[in-house]
Amino acid sequence: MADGKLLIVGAGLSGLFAGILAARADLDVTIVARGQGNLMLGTGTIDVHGYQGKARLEVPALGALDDDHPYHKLSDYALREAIELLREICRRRGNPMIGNLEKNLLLPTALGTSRPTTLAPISMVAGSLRDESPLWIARLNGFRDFFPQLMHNRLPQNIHIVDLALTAKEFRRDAYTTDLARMLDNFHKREQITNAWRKSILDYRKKTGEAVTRLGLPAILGLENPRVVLADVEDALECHVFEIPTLPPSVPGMRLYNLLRAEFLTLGGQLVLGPSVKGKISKYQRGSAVMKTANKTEKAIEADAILLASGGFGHHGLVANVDGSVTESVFDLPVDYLTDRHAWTAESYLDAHPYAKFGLRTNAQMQPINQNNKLQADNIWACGSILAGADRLSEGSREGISLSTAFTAVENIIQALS
Amino acid sequence: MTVIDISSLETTLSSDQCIKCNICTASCPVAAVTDKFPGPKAVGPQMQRLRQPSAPSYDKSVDFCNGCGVCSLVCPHGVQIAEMNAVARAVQMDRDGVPLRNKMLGRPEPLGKIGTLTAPFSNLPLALPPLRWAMEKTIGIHRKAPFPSFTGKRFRKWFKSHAPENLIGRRKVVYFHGCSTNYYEPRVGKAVVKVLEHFGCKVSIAEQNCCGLPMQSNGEFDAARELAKSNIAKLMPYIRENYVIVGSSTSCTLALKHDYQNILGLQGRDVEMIAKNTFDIFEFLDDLFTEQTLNPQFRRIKDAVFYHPPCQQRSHFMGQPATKILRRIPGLSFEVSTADCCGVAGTYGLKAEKYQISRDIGETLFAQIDRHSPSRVLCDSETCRWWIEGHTDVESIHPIELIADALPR
Ligand code: SF4
Ligand code: SF4
Repeated sequence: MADGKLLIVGAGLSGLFAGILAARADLDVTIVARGQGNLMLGTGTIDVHGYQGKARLEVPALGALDDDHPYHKLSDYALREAIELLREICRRRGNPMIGNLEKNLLLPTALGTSRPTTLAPISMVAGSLRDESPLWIARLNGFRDFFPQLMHNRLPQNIHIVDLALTAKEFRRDAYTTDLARMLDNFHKREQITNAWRKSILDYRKKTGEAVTRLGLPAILGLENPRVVLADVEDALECHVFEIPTLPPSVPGMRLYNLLRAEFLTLGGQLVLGPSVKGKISKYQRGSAVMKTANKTEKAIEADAILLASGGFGHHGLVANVDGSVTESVFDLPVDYLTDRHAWTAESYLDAHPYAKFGLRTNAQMQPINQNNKLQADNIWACGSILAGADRLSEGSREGISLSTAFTAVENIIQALS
Repeated sequence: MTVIDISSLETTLSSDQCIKCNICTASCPVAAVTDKFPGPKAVGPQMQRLRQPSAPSYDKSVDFCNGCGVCSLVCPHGVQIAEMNAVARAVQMDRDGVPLRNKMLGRPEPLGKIGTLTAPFSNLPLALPPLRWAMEKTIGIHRKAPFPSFTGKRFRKWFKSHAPENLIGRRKVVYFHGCSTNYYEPRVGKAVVKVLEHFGCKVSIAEQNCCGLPMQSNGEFDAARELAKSNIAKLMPYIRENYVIVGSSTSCTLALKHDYQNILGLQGRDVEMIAKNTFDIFEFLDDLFTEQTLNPQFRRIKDAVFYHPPCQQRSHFMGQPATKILRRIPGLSFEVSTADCCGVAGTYGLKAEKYQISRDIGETLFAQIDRHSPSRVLCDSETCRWWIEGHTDVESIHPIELIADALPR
């Protein structure tokens, strides 16, 4: 059985993935998170390294990143193994991921740009922009959060718009992507919907004389069983179908969250959503943590090791204070940031902002250190978006960093505990 | 004991932390299946701003919230949406009156007493279609909603006659069995007692009454407070004698731990002591094993089961301790559900106007169960067990029953 207790703070991609790896190694793992993590807001793809400046990369170019980038702290196999492990879990749990580290996929975004990524769910790959053939994009009547015209106007590819009936039933409120995904999960509703779509496609062909070869839909192809939904829709429409990630809440992101959660729980891992964790570090350099439980009392969380996967500014891992300081929310660990408040942001909103690289500095074992490289606690590790040195948005590197740093942190935790 | 004005609870004030990210609405099981309910963000923090004592607002849709609590758990910004909804519902009922049907569903105890006395005859009406049809028409309890059957012998009666394995156990436990164990499923209580005594606990069952949750969720806050106070008075002597309260129904224990203070607004030392000293059975066992560095051995059980942690259990913030212990049983394999709610949510799904919503919510879980084709479904909450069994034809038991079964003979 377990030979050590691990507390993970955060239930985003890095927290859940680390939890799975540690539970597989028979550690007794508890994840505590303030709420559902960043996966609900993401696109459900795994970006390793997509951009250098404004240029889209065909192949990740990790060597070109700054020296203090988290990728440079890793062993040469960490990223590759982490990707393979994730791929194996996703395949087994019905959401196969396509792609590899040798070449980035290039997929369309809902805003009409092209986006390089390393792994994408099978339901997205038929939209590849490396393929020069024309694309058809569905306009779902009554669904507000998707803009095919924008894609048509902005993408250089040959793009056509097809109108599809949304559903048989009218909604009395805005229909969300999750509503449509749940309808498609249901066999009977799926049949009704695909029949209606089929009719629209046939009408379109009659009217224009064009046969639709590949059709893009907002990402709504089921939350529970996307592979089956995709196959049924493709059969009914007699063409390739691909999903385009939408505004949050994101269906592909929720799928990933659900399958990682199921894997973690089935391994006996403990998931506590709701409370925030407060920690302190003793003078002997040991971290300990408490949380508020349902009866509003503080309960000590027993842990031999603590892994911070609590995220960056958007998820309370890092906090920007009114006095211009930046703090880490659980242990108040030293954060790498610029003291000159005016130097945090770039000129334009869409530029790369210096604050994006703020975060925890760690050693190669993924343990937080201060600016003089001094270890802060013997039993604390960190992974994911809380780490300093990466601008995940501008680099297109968020998930690659989360997976590989989680992998490395757990590898070191296991070693430290045995 | 004092009761504070519920409109000034921390709960109701948390609405200002909402950033409208919609994560709660994407996870709400009710909003997922019906457009009669606009979702937690809309009826919770958004509507809360209009619910001023001086300007009462009418938003009937809050009655469609089933109280599963998922929204409060997934919200990354600490908005206590589910709690907010419970309070809003009670204020509404206070103004409009509580329907007879809600009053019946809020009182499992008197019903249980009569039913148990007259079993098996009392089970007949619930199995007869014409009567069920009449019940739906007159009081609004859906004819297809599965009901449990009364057993002839109450759990308390069994307990009094059973020969304890452990009179001088190291740990003193008072077992809060709840209404369902007493009247419908004494087998769950027997399993709890067997396991606790096996691991060296001295078990008592104290005088107790319904926890009050059914009344609370049917909008009768005043009556629920009376039940709460009565339980507190009955349990306090045990707390003073260093007993801890252990329960097997995650909804009853949540009432004791959380709702008495945070939804019903009870305040004072006693209610705090009760809250602090109440544990779910698996939470208690897990702590016990850690504290005493016990490494319990179980018999081999070759079986594949499916575990659905009920929504109420997640609000305990204790993880899913049952899985830690199930994992120790050799030969047993299990898959854990990712469905956020089975649908029934206590008495919600029994109501004629809500039955179909609950049914539709359940589809996600029922499909997962179907995909894994387990021999049994484990679940810590009684109403969920009956609902799952009634709609999947797969037997549903409390996980503690499996543990009891796996104890070395
Ligand atoms: S999850 Fe929380 S912050 Fe987001 S919309 Fe719901 S209540 Fe507001
Ligand atoms: S408590 Fe459950 S049903 Fe009610 S709003 Fe929240 S998630 Fe929806």
